[in-house]
Amino acid sequence: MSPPIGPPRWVSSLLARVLPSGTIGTSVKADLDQEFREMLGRVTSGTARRWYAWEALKLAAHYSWGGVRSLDLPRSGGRGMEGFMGNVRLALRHFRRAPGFTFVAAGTIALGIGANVAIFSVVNTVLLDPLPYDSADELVAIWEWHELRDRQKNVANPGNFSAWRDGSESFAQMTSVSMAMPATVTAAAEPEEAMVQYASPDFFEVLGLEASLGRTLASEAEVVISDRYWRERFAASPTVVGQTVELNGLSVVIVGVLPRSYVVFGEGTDLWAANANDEGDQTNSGRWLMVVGRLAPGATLSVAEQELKAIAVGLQEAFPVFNAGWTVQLVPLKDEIVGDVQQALWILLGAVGLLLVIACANVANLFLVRATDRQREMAVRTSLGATGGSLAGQLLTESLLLAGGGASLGVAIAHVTTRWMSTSMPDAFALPRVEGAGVDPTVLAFAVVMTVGTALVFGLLPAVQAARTSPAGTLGAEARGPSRFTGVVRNGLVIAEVSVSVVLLSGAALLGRSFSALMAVDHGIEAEHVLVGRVNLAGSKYPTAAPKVAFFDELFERIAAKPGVEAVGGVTFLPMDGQGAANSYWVADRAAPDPADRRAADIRNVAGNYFDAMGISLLRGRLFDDRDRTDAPQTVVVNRSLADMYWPGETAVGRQVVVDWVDETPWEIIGVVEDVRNTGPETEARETIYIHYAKGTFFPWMHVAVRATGDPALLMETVRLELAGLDETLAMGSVRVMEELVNRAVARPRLTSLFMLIFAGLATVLAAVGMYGVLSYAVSRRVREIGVRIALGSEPGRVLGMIVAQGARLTAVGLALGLGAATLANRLIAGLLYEIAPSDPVALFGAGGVLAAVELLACAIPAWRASRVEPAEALRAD
Amino acid sequence: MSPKSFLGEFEQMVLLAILQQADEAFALEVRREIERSAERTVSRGAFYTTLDRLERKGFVRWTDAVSQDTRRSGPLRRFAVTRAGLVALRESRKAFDTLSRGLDRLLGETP
Repeated sequence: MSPPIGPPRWVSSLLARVLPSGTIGTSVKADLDQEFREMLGRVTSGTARRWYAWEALKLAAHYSWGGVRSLDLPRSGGRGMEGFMGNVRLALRHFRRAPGFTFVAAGTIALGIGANVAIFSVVNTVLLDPLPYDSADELVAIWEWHELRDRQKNVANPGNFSAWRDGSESFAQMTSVSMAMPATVTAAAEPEEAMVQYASPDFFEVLGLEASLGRTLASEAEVVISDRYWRERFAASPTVVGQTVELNGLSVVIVGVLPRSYVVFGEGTDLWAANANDEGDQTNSGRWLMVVGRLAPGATLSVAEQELKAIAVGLQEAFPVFNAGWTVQLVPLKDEIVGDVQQALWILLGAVGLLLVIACANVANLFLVRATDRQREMAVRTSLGATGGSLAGQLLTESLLLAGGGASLGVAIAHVTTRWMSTSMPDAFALPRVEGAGVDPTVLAFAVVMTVGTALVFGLLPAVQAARTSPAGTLGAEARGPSRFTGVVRNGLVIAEVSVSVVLLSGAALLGRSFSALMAVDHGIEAEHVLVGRVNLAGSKYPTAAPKVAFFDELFERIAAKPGVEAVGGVTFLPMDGQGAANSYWVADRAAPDPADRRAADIRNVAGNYFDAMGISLLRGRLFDDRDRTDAPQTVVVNRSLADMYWPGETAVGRQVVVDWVDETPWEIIGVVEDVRNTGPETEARETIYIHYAKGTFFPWMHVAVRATGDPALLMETVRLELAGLDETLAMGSVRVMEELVNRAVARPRLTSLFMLIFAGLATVLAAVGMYGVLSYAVSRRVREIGVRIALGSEPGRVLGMIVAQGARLTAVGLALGLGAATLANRLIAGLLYEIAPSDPVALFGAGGVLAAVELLACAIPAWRASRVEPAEALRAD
Repeated sequence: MSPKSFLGEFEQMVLLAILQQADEAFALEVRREIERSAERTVSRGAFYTTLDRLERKGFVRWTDAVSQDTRRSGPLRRFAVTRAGLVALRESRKAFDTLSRGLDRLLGETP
């Protein structure tokens, strides 16, 4: 015979422990046992046991907390979901009772988590998300590289590209696309300027990119268009596929629209036209291709690099003049696209991480203050049977709720701001791929981890303290205020806040100083009052140099005659616009160097009064004029760097240089102009040779530069009308004021230093609030003592000094630790700095000084309040 | 009527149920009697604490009884209403009747 089925033993013994001792308790339990046995006859034993467990637990709960409830203290603790919900109700009630505390704490958390989520969503989109192509990690960008001239990541020559593609086994596929070039596109009636790239017909296939509408390129006489161009020019019409347009006078068919996320070498490109970039042997005729390869299965980047370098050595031998000194450089495609911004983004993420640390310290401090004030409540609850564990659980629930509430707010703000910034003002971000930034599941998971982590960090200390509560001890100790342990912890938190703030502030100071140094750089141009716009004469109407030159002469003359115009000229590549031509050269009166040792100079074709229009000053000699036309002797203007390099202390005017441009006839230097930082403000000017447009150029376009007497933007319409009056089939492209280009060139450092400054500012404010909180609390706890001191004759000034000294000690320790940490941490941002050392004492001590001043200010208010304590009132106070 | 003798609704029901059960007024039976006549579920916790409270007020007393059920694991309590309990019940009922006077039509359903 099997033993009779009894109630679940664990719950039965739990009940026995909770019920009152003696007959009453045992009879109550015996009643329940009897009901269980009666039930066994009617239902299955499982059902009966579950019923018993549930009823016994309810009974146990009633006997455990019924008394507490009758004192009108909310129920908390307990087990499982019911206990948790009890904790939640209790926590919400506490928050309602302390709205100030709740607002400050949740706001601080919202700030910390919001900043983290915002930066992380950008990091996630830009750096962590894989490129939207098939097996994107197999894709590699392949550049030419001239080590001696420090020409890294140089565009490739078509002949060299064919040699790499045909000779390598590490790559399954290799394809290329040209640099972006201006083109005239006629879709309906109006001609338009657009940027076009010539892509090998298999270019998009190698990337594994699908068109978002239609298909990608398959053969020549086809084009695909960018998502932006599709929306702006064709109003996102789905019937665009199959439409025929004219590209520089040739008919081509639009076969597809690329997805919005497309980023490979195509920033600002409107159309991609199919073109075999490797036709014939083009070695010796310039470099303009961007090459992408897909690694063969099993091939590694380093093996591929060795293989291509070997091929490059062969190309050097085959074409000793053209290829001397040129080798290859391989960069994983993803690094190619986001490499520049990687460091800045990780540093910003680190900065917001530190901000969150400060926010946590602040909220932990608030919780500790509150926990001290709630000691009586905790003691009462302990004496009514609550365990240390259940009190700790209660406080952790409060932390979690607060963190969750603050974090939800922070995530919402982060989502709205990143969406808004990335869609309405992507230029401000100056980041690739940022259009997609926003809160997605990954970001949300990050936020949840951050929130729980945050809640544990700031909630654990008060919880530990609560778990150690003993009713008798606490009720007795309550009058004495916080424990020594709590005081030490709170001081420690303030010190930590101060030191972390110093690290952030000094980083921000470094970036700010670096940015102002960058802004103070003399670019060599006067960008104010200058309007620029591109006019492209590609196509059959202006087949040779002569009509092009005549056209621009006429255009400049017409514009110059307009009121409000000071000077007009043209140049093939604008300063700070990202690209340009460069060729090797040497000085004519010295022995021609070996091809591998030849230096390269930026080559710019100019026309009209370009130097006056752009504000480039003439240092020696003269500028171009009518003497330098087509049929005149070959003349050039060079920049100061070139002149100083070969003729330091002498004049370069009258000397000759040989330029590997049209032929090797020497060019006479007629003038020396100031250096212009063509690449960007942070890059020193390179040797530059200016050749008159009439003397031959490879480029059918010119950027027209107009210097206005007033606001250059007002001249836009005038310039457009003059162009249309001269040739109505032409349109002006990229019309901008020159300052916009300069601003864009510094957009990224501006953004980095601005963000860093905001984060450091927030950190400083939080640290000051933390200090203020600690001292205010200390003062409020010491009112009686201070009153006694004043009653015994202590000067209010001494009292004030005593409190300030307490704050000053904390600040000093924090500063010492923080400055030490900053000297280490600032090395991490060395790569972002322009002409400022990471150990820059002005930034370090400036940050320390600012923080010390702010902290002392935060001490002053509670100290002043302490010095105003009325002894009589203080002694009467409870 | 002293405040001490004032009875809550549930206390009245417990006292009445004990009286109804007479000699069989064991806790389990009393609770079942309330559930039957009041047609509502009675929480065990509330029921036992009410019994204990009524005992502390001197309105009920209990004695040990011998259970018919040999498998019963613990003592069995038989409850009885004390004299004070009866007085309190009468007082409560009187107050109730006085307050209800003239309200028959409004309260409806008079037996």
